[in-house]
Amino acid sequence: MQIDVTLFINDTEEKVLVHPADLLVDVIRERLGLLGTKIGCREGECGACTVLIDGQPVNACLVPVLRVRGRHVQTIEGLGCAETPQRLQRVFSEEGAIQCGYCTPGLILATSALLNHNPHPTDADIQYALAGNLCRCGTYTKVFEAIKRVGREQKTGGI
Amino acid sequence: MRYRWNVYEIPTSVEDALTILSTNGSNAKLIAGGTDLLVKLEHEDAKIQMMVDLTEIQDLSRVDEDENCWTIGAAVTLSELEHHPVLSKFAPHLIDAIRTIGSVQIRNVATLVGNVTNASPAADGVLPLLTMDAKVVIASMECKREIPLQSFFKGPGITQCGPKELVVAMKIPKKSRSWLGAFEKLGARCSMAISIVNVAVNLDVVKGIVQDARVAIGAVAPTPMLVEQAADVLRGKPLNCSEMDRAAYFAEKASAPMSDLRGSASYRRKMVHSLTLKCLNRIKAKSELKQ
Repeated sequence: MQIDVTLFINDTEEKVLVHPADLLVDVIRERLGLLGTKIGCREGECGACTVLIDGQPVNACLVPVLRVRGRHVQTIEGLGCAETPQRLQRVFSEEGAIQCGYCTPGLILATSALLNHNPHPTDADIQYALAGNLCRCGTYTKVFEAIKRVGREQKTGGI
Repeated sequence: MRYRWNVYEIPTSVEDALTILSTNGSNAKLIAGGTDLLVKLEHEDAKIQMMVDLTEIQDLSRVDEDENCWTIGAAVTLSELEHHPVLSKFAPHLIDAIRTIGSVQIRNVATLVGNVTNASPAADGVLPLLTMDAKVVIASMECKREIPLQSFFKGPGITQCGPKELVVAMKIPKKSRSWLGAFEKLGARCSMAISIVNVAVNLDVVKGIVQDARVAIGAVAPTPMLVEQAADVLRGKPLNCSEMDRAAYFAEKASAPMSDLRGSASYRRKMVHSLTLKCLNRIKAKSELKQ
């Protein structure tokens, strides 16, 4: 049994056929071909599937797709790409905060939500905001440095 | 792909939700955040006929305040509570507990009522609610009833809520400003951890004397529980070391923990004592600041 739904993904209206039990992460990846969002645990523990719904980070592996009709979903593709990276992506790359890259989309989205309401986070703020994003390569120290660098550049007006 | 359910209903009123429940009974499962439920369905490899999503019901998405109590709707998320400008002043130890649950991603969809109805013995949101004499508001097609939170749990994962019923809200009665609360959680990590032991204490302290008290412990019994003996030794006395020690002793004595992958029973018993003392000391410091 398939249902026609209209979703707003990265400011684009997308019409998809879904099963009532489809989860957002699978629709994003399999139906819409947006592979930037990764699947790690399927339990809401690792944060690899983090997307923003109305600007708030959520684990897409635990969101039934029917719940997001009419809401704004942003995936990593909505932030920037290799040709035109957004500042956060560029700084992560420059600071060595990316190794295998699997956790990165989720981390970047969670970070962008943090910086939207707290542009100059402390270590404790970062730890609290990113507690739901795990990195098996262990880039954590570099991630903290990258985020604090963005915070500093923001203060001094750097790009 | 394994599909866990066949039908996904999203009613827009409590009435509609109750109608669906009364026709479908135990073939229907209620979902708000789903952060416990969906994981459980995977682990049990379960298949449900119908999910009933509560997140579009306006009446369940509000935090209301009147002169007697706060009412927290079933669909209010932990994040909304965490950032509520007034509630955090009224119930700081509830907010402290909420901040220890999961992660930002989890709290953005998970609900306090979900934490209650999931009825884990280790539920963090439940303990401060117990110390505030919270009530559970349960609706069915026939009626609406309120029961004290301490009578709500029957066992691990089992509550008084029937298959055709829906918990619509938690009610927290307003108490005088002299009540001070504290919450402590012991977990393997600072976030994303199920409690090994948790404790909440709420004391009415006037001029250094404890007028009334509530001590709640979790993860050390089949359900979260209030320890009346611990509260009793504090009532009518000043908040000093010997009284606090006795309260912690009774809290430990009342606990009946299991040994499991998170900790041994003897370790947990010791930690009940430790966390109770931590809570009491924190309240003592707050009460001295007030004076």
